Amino acid sequence: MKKKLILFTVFVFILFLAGSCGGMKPPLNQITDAKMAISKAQALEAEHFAPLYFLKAKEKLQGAEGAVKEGNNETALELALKAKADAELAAALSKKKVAEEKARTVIEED
Amino acid sequence: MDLKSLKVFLVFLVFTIMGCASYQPPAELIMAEKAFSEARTSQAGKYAPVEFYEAEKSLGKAKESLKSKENMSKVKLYAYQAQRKAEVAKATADTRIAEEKIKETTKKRRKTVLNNKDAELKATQEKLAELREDAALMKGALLNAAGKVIVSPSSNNERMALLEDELAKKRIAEKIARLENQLRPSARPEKERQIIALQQKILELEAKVGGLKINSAGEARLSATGANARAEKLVVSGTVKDSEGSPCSGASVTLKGTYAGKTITDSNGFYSFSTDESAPQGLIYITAECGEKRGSIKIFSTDHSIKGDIIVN
Repeated sequence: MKKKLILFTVFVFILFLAGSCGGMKPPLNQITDAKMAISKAQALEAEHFAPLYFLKAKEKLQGAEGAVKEGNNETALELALKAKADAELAAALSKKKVAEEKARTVIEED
Repeated sequence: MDLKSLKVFLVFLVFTIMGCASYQPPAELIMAEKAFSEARTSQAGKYAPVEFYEAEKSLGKAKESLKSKENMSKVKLYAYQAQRKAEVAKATADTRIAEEKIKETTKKRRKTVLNNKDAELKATQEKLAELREDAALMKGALLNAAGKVIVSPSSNNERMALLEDELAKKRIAEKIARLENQLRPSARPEKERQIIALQQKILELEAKVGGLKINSAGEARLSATGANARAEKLVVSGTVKDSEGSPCSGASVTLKGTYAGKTITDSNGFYSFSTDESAPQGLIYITAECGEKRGSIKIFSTDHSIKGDIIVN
């Protein structure tokens, strides 16, 4: 009986350990990366030059932060990664628009 | 076909359908492939190689995850990232192409400006050479006229000034020589009046020669300042008459005071002094001797030309 009790305790402990290790942690690093990418895009005036992707990135970041609060870390990770990808695209499009506008002006002046 | 065989077939069919379904690429992956293809068309591999490589890697990861039957949400996430990276690669390539255009246009414009400047410089150099040639010709002409080489002038302006002076001196010397010939005792009575007139002319000529400036461009023009400087020299003139009003010819007239000088009157009793000094304000004392008769006047000069008639008794 005593032996059975010990075995049961060990089993419960192992289950507890497995549960705690396998559970997903909040994707704080990924959320920080997304925030940084959005800041960079904002510095390049993405709000003006690429408003669609800039807004998408912001919405996804908000979603990720909300998901963390709800404990839905898997969704939070997915949204944070997507937010970063959207922000990077917004920044690249801003650079492109600025360069194309400058090129047009230079060619017109010539 | 018995019931058992039918059951086995159905189970096999279900597994087959499930297997096919798991390999069906999601819409995200199809879009990612399309975006990657567009990036390749935009020469992203050439203009944005790093971004293009990242997109390729991401797309490969998405495909791999689909093949290895990973969770579909992961496949979709990788595909989404791949699509965005491909779009970033395309945008970056477009940016570099635009930047290259700016560089080329600016370079072309600079070249045009440089060519224009070169042409302008060439024209200026040619003009300068022409001017130098003209100046050299002018200098040669002046040297010939002066009949003398001027040594060690420090600048063109100085050289020109020296040449002018030489010319003026030469002309004046010639005139004086002619006048001296005319002033011989035999010619004196008839020529006295002419001498006075010629002396006046010499003064005028001297003033004109002094005002002639030749600039480095080879243009000769009369300098107003030079002419004025000559014209402002003190000239004292007048007549010597006796108490009855008859002109006294051959009378000795002496200038005293601030300036000194001596001359004789002509047949009409006319005399004239010209000094080398500019006309300042000062007291001028003139005496005249006509045989036994004497006379004098005092004038305070305020102008460059003074008229002083003397009566002797």
